[in-house]
Amino acid sequence: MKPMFDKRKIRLFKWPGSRTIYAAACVLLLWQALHLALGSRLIPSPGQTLIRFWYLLPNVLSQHLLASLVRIMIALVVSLIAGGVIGLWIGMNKRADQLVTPVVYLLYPLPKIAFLPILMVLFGLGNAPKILLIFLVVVFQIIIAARDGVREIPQPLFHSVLSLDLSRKDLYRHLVFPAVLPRIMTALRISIGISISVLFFAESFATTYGIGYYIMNSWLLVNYVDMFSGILALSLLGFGLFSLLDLAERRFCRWTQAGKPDEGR
Amino acid sequence: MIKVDHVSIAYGDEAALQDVSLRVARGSTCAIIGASGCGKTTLLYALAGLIRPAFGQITIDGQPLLNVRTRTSLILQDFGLLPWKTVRDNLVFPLRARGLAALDSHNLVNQTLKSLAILDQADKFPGALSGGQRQRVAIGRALVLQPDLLLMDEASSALDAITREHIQQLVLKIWQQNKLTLLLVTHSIEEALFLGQTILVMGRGRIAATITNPWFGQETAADPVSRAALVQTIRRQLHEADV
Repeated sequence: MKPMFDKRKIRLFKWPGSRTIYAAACVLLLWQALHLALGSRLIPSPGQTLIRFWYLLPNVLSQHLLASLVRIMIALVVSLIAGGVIGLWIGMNKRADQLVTPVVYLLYPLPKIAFLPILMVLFGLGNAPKILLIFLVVVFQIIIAARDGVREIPQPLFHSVLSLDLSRKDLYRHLVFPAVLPRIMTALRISIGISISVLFFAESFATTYGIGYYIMNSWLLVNYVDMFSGILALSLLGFGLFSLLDLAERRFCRWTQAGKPDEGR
Repeated sequence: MIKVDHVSIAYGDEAALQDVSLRVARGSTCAIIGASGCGKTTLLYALAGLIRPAFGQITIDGQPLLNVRTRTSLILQDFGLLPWKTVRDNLVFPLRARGLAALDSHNLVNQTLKSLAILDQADKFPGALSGGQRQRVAIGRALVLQPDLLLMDEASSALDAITREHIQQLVLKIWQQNKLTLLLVTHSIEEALFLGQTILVMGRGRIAATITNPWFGQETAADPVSRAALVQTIRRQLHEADV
């Protein structure tokens, strides 16, 4: 008997980009509903904001976005390198794990944001304390993700690869790095969201560039349309970073999207 | 010749192998059979050079085994394939790591995949293959390294009955064609009878019995009664070894 619905034929999002358009439409509809429900200039209409955003983007918002992007990218790349190296080291070495993991567990839950004033005193008012703050928030997640990624490699897989008489370099290249990559990608995805929140906070102090500064400054000037344009820019920055990460995952973790077997062959 | 002399291995306080000695002639097959936890996998890992014995010595062709040997291939129960590499890359990477040129590696791999009837699966990831196909890839990866000793650890236990039979016949054919020494660990008496010229019964970290198998490589026995008697003997030995 034929099934009433063939699941393969029911495809909600046929063409590329349709999911993004769907998500944007949902957000804009909710936003418009909120604007109408409140009837206050505290929440400007999406149309008004989009027009203002388009006007501000080339000369004003782009500079603030660039400053924020540079800070966040440097922090993420440095966290990825440092966290990846430490995580792999403690994942592969039991003694290092015993020495480093308790320290990581003690430092990880600390509210790093509270250290921003100290970082500013130590590293000045430039980019360094802001980048360092994001780094401190993100690096522990990468360390733990990399360490857990190594721990999750099945022992037989280790034996199988070791039996091939590979060098240590080849062991990392062919087994350890690819095995931890999906976990690091997940940690990075979570980190991007947190980084943007931390960035917004860090840019609220002692700076005249950055999207966080722009939003707070517009709020102080009671210019809600500009403030929402800044929020929109920050949201698009996050969207861009998430899309970039998805692209990297599709490129470097292709096996995670591979089809399932047709059993019974 | 593989010589294992008075080998003992322990995991912490727990003895996995106790004073194990055995001989396997070059080019022969040997099936090691025993209950779970009897030490058969530990013995196989020791023969692969992955575990160093605390006591005793293993020599292969007169050379003491101190590390992993380049001419030993190991096939594990869950095949040990790297899920992030395609079938072809799973076979190519050990060759490339050993310094074989890219073109030579690809030619050798294509030839091996073709002989195992999985060339059409070469660009798929292992996760997209059936159990039988994955097993063939694992055999391919072992063979591509041109081993003289092939170790198999319950390599067909995860397969269904029909696929398992096909794989056993394939392994027998490979053994005949390549003149290699084959040591396999199994908990199936039928598999041990089909693939082992000698059957070692293990229990509690020791070799309890060594049986010469007259039914090696035979799917149907000419004398079913004496075959059934041998099966009964192995069952009894297994039971006694485990008590």
